Amino acid sequence: MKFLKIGGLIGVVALAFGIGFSWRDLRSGELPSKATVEKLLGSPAKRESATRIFKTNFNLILTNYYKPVDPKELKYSGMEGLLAALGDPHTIFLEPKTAEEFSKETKGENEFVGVGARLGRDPVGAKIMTVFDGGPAQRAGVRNGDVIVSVDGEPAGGIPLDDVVKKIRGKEGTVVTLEVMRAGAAKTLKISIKRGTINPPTADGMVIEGTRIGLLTVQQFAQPTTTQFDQALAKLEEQGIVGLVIDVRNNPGGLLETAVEMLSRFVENKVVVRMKMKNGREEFAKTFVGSKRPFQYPVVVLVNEDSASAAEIFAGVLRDYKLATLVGEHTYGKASVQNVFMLVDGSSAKITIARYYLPSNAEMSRKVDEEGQYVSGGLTPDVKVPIDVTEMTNLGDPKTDSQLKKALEIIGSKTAHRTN
Amino acid sequence: MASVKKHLWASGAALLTLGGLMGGAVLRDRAERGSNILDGPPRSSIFASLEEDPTVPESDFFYELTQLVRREYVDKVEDDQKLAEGAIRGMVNGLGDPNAEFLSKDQFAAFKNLLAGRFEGIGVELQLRYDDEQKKWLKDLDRLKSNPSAESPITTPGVLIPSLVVTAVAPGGPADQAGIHVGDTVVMVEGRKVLDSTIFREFQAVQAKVRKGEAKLNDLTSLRKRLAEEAKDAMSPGRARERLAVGRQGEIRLGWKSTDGAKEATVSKRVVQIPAITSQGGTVALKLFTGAERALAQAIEGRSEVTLDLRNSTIGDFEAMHACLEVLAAPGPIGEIKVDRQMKPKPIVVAKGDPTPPKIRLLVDGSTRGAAAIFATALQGRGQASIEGQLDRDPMELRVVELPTGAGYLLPVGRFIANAKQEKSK
Repeated sequence: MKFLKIGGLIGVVALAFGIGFSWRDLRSGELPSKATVEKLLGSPAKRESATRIFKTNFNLILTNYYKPVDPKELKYSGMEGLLAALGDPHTIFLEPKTAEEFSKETKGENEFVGVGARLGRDPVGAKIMTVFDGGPAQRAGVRNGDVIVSVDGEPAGGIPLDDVVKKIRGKEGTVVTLEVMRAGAAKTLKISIKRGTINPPTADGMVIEGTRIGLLTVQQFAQPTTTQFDQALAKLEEQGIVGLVIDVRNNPGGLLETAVEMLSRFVENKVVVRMKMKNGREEFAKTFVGSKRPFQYPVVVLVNEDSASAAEIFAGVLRDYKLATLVGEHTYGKASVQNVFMLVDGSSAKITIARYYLPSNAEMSRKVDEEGQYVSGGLTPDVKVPIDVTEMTNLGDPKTDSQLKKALEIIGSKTAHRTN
Repeated sequence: MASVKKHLWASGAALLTLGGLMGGAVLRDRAERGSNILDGPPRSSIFASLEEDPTVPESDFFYELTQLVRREYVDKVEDDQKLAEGAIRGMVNGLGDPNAEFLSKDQFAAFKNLLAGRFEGIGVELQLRYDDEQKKWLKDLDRLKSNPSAESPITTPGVLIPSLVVTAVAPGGPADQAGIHVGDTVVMVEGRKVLDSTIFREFQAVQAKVRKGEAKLNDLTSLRKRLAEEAKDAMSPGRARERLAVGRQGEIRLGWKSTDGAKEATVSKRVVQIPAITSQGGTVALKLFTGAERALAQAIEGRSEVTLDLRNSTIGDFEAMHACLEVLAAPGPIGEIKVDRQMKPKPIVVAKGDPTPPKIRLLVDGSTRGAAAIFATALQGRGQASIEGQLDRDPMELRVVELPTGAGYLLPVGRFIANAKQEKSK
């Protein structure tokens, strides 16, 4: 009798527990889902224990390491490690400072104080490769091709380019005096320039000396890049170019939207990339209609192993639609899309959310060996040209830039063929 | 009486039923919020928002970031523990301390075997070692952290690549038979050069000369070419160490630099068990392997004087070391673990010990390190032992932590300082 009573009581309590647990679903005439029941029965234990493992060891290191540890730094290196455990080099944690720089970069805000010119190497000093539009150097009359032989009276010859750049940069509003050699001038010129805030363009163009071929260098694919690309291209076309070299070497990529916008100048309503998201979902990025330009001259794109992401998409799509010849070395092989998630303390997590495929469907994701050395992946150029970058190399100067030299030859042979 | 009992039963049953209902509802809440009873749900969110309080407890940060990865990462994330392990690897490596070391599952298993005297691989213990110049650079870099405007002492990170040094050789093991000695540097594994800092240092030196105008840019160019050439097929020292120290079978080709020149050999991997105690004449060679205390107790039983050879002892189990002190030290405090932070040093005490301890003579040298060095310092500090040979000052105690995943890490917890009072009174 007593057994029955106790048994009955246990039964009633268990039933009550069941009803309590399922009440939410029972109200809508259903039973709780299997997943909810599993969560009750312990599958959260494993996940929670991961948090517990972390918590335990975080505290252990914080309190037992023999030197003082900043809990914030410890947390950040932990979060870095967490994302690194996925084995994807592009899923990374960005500490607040890095996160801020990253965000500025994609907006095309690489501000610094200087004179507003890109320098290249030269045996007697530093060569002005590009003078930025509207910058202090341009206002002071510095021209492309000038060679800086001294900075504030100190010779610029025979020292590394970075050191010359350091000397030229300084506090905003101060004056730097450059002594330059100019082709055709008998004597060196002394030019004083007031240093100012420079936001270097991410795309700029010039006609290569002694040719009618334009060189359009795209440093990265940031928000203002499309506009800068359009302006630079318009300027080159005004000068009557018969061929165009687009240089995306050392271009780490940037925004996919920018690459799509720029490709829309070449081709309308075509697939740029097919993106494979989580759980097999697919999305397509296509070029727009209405901004196509007539490119009535051959186009060569220069690529190298440091051309990645949006730069590879840009070059690869032009090649897949037979709009350009790729010259240089194989590209990086990025093949994935990341999203940046801002976190509460100013740090960010950059997480791979999709893999992409070019129109030709070629597999291009980078494969490395266990030492991190390149094995395969990236775009293979149509014309492979190695380059030996030394202290004397100036990218953008066909005398020392073997890849650009080859690009000029290719354009030369194509235009010759056309006129014949 | 019977009716009271009935009442009790009825009200008890009603209460329990109500409790069951409420309990069920509460657990449902927790199940849906994704946490169980032991860990409360995160109190705040890591996502940027203006209203939120920006202070997020670190463990909640971990939890939220794990959830974010599960939700957004392109591939399915099956194993949260792997993420926790990665986070711990990050924290340990983030300390930037050559003594703090994260070990993968295989490495940790091999390490535990090593602590017990079982050598895997080719039968050596290897350490990544910085030389004095590199140690100075590391210190300078440490100082730079607080002064970001100062110029870095290094211009090429490659100068900080440590060399791979043999710190212990299992007697009779494969490496011993091949003629590898303590102090040798491994320079080649599986036909690939082990990357070292030599050429990077040369490069840095020429860079400095170019800056001063004492060398030409062209010198730098040719050196850069050689550097790229050498680094191309090289293996990192960490990887090389794993290749040599892990595994129970197979052959491996390696090259090493010895005091008498460069050598090469093909060596077979196998397991070699080294005893904690080997007695020869009156001398007892002691290795502080796991469980060494039992063998030590046997070896010194009934002796009033003993010579302990602690040379060639770089591997030591700190627990075994404390147990061995219990075997042959007199009871009482022997020293303390000192930390570089505002905390009291932790005293180390021999609890029971041996009230009539033997007189001890210790043989030590540069290969007496870690646990063995603490052992010797402790015995010498309280005047129980005389020492022959030079000993590392203030040896570091390491905590060995094993994770549920099988991986683990070593954490430096403080320097051992022998009991000063005893020293003075001596």
